[in-house]
Amino acid sequence: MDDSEIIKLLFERNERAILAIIKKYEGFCKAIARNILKNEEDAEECVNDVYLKVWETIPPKEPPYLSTYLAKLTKNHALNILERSYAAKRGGGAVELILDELEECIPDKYSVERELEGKELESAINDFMKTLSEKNRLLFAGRYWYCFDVSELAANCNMSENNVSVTLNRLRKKLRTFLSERGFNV
Amino acid sequence: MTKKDLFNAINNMDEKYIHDAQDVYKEPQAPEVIRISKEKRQPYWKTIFATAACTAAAMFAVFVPIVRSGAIGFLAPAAGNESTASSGVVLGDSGVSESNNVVGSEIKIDLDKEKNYEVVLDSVFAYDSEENTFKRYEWGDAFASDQLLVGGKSYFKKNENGEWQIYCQELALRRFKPLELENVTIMQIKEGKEGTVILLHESLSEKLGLPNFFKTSPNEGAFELYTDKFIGDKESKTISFSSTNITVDYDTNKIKISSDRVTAF
Repeated sequence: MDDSEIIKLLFERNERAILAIIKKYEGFCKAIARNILKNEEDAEECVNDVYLKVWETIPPKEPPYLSTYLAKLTKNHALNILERSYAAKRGGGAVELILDELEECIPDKYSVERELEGKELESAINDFMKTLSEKNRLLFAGRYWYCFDVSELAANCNMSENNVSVTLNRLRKKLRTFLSERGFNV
Repeated sequence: MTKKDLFNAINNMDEKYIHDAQDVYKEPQAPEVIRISKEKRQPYWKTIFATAACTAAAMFAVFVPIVRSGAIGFLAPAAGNESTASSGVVLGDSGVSESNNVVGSEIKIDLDKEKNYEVVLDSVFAYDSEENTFKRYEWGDAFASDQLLVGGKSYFKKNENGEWQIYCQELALRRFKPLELENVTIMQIKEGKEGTVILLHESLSEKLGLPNFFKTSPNEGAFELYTDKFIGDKESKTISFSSTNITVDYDTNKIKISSDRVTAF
């Protein structure tokens, strides 16, 4: 089923849309969740939550790329699960809570500056991506956005693991230089 | 700037880069399917002569898949003895007689690529333990007291010696009567203006290979969901269920799970 048909079914509130998403994208979403959570059960739970989020958010949202929308939902939810898991290990999230409370003491100016720097950094990352070849963009996003292992990248890009590792190393150095030239303190 | 700032910035990169990079994910490759039909059968029997090991399956009987013309068959185990179910695969020019239990020791099949294959079969020989004889069954034939044979497959892959081996066989049976699975649990049924959310118990959703929730349209009656995933007792390697129907009865808040198809390995 085409993504446009799936989105149409979601707008019609037809649960066949979810079954179609499961059939078409379950492996993809689960791979992303698994990359981050490194646990099959957590990945399964994460992906199930993503189906519910898709149902709840489309409509009103009408994403241009359903697959990318699913990827982003999955990644962000997996990161949340991971953060919760870390927090639990640190003592039921108590330290996180204290940090959150202390954050209120930080002047607004700082967070505004921080937010601006964040936006500038995002813009710089997009500019950096523009400078890369198609293959290097794929490797960079594959590793640092999709969080795939070097071995998986190598297998899926028809490269040796060593070749992928060397390329990623060069890309990291290139990014460091790129950000330094734009005044980021790295 | 911290590493988390950098991670967040990468996380928020332009969607087009995220979309383009989806090629880094590749679906696990399904085995190539060879359908042995009357028209296409001949080219597959040309070059490679491979010895294969076969795993016959036992439910009410031991199954021996063959191609309809008798060009390929599997060595039959001793009558009714499940422990001798592993044996050789054969190709015989003279075909396979229904009265012969042993059909040979080799298979000749043109599998010249470094891939896995599925061979979809036309019919099977099955050992009927009640009548103590092998019978040819074609798809649609009644089997035992409450089933139909509806399909069969064999899966081939290369072993360490470069020989093709059958590593799995499936025969599909369809029951006349739906098989019901009992003692299943619904975690919760929440009814609202926008529909009904049904949360399945984790163990059940895992068993069915389904998500933990389903949402229905408002005022909808009982509905059915389908999964083609295997469930059942995988440990015993004997029978799994597929094509499962899940029906929710709103009057009683009960869920009924039935399967009209059973696959024997």
